[in-house]
Amino acid sequence: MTGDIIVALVVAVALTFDFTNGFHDTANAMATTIATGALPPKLAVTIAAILNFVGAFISLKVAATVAGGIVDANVVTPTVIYGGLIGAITWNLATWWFGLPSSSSHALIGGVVGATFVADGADAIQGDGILGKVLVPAVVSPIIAGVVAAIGVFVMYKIISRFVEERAEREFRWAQVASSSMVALAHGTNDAQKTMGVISLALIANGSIKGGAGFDVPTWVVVCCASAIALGTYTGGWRIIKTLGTKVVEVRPPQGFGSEAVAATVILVSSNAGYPLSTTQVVSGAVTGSGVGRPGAVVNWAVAGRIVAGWFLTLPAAAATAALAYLIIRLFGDGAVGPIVMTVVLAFAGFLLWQANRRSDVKPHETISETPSFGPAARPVAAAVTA
Amino acid sequence: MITAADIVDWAALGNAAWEIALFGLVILVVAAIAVATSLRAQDVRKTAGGAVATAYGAVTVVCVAGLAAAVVLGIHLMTQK
Repeated sequence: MTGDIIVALVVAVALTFDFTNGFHDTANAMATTIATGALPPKLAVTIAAILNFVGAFISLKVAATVAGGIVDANVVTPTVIYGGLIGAITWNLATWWFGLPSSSSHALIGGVVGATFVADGADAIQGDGILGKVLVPAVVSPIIAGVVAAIGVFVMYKIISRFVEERAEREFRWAQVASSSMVALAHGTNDAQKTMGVISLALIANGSIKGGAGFDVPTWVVVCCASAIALGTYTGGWRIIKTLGTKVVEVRPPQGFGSEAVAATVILVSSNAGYPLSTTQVVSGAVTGSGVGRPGAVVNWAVAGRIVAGWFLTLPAAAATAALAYLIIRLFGDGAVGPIVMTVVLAFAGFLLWQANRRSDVKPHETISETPSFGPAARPVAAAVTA
Repeated sequence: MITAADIVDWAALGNAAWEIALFGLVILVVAAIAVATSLRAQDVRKTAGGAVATAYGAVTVVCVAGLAAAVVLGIHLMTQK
């Protein structure tokens, strides 16, 4: 009975994490599309939500292998997973409040590692896996995305430079929507599955389902996770959308298309090669790189630096928070009292944050560039063609 | 003593980076060519006549078809994960 209560709480908190993952990462796919006015904000997040939902059903292999190679799956208990989720949710909400696009995946990994460390010691953590599967790709992927986007966008502007800029830019509208949609779909296939994997791990640890070779993610887990991430995406993390779409660099349509197309390429090629990446880091690197590549664009390196600083803090901060949460839970013993108390505290903190957010919320229209290329406020297009 | 070289497969990482650079740049260049030829077709249609405009239009169609193929390949890769 106690085990069932803890698992029920893990499922509830995991779906809460999935929801925060959705609204935290809406910016990955749609920030540039919204900034240029290629799509109205609410329509953009609706499309992203639908594609995240669909993406969650495309493949389940990530869900089946989540947490493998990071910690010793044999010692993980539902309470450890619960502590890890608390760390991940806390870091996601903190970075969202400050408008920082940080990795939800790294927050989840950091949380699980932190809770496992205090529960079972350093031996239960697979350092090789963390270095090879998480840290190295985390450093390399945004750099590659940035360099490729910078060169690619520079060449694109060279090719279209004979035409009036605004006229050429408008031709990129639907290409931008398509590339953003690809990122949204890829996000659904990756991130929703991580939560499915976490819930499945808890169910296996509790003996509710069988693990091993014939392991299948229960259908209700797939549907719940797909719905939670889609709902979170639809809610729209406007603070982060504003940062990524308007504060790092002024995004023009060829840039928006270039950064999202390169990001989608990085994610898909890397996933195919077996490197699990952070969509957030790849997109942030590509957006910054596209700003370097566009002639005349000015990258706000102070904002870019704050984002990178957030990335370095994500793993240790989520790990420390999860470790603290686990220790607090343990103060109440082995039963369900600790997780129940922690869930009540989390719900109360979430309510306070929601109240504070209502007073200083970023509205959807504030995420559009001051000089959008599309929509009612779009820059006029000169009719003449340059020689 | 275990070093980073023992844990990280740098050859595979380098190969992935090379593929990303190749595919990423090709996609962006093809898109730019599609836009440039589309605009050129619109302009030429007003002045030089149909044949030249059709030729530019054909290049646009080929480029767009290539980009559509890239999208299909991307979705296929997602289903293989």
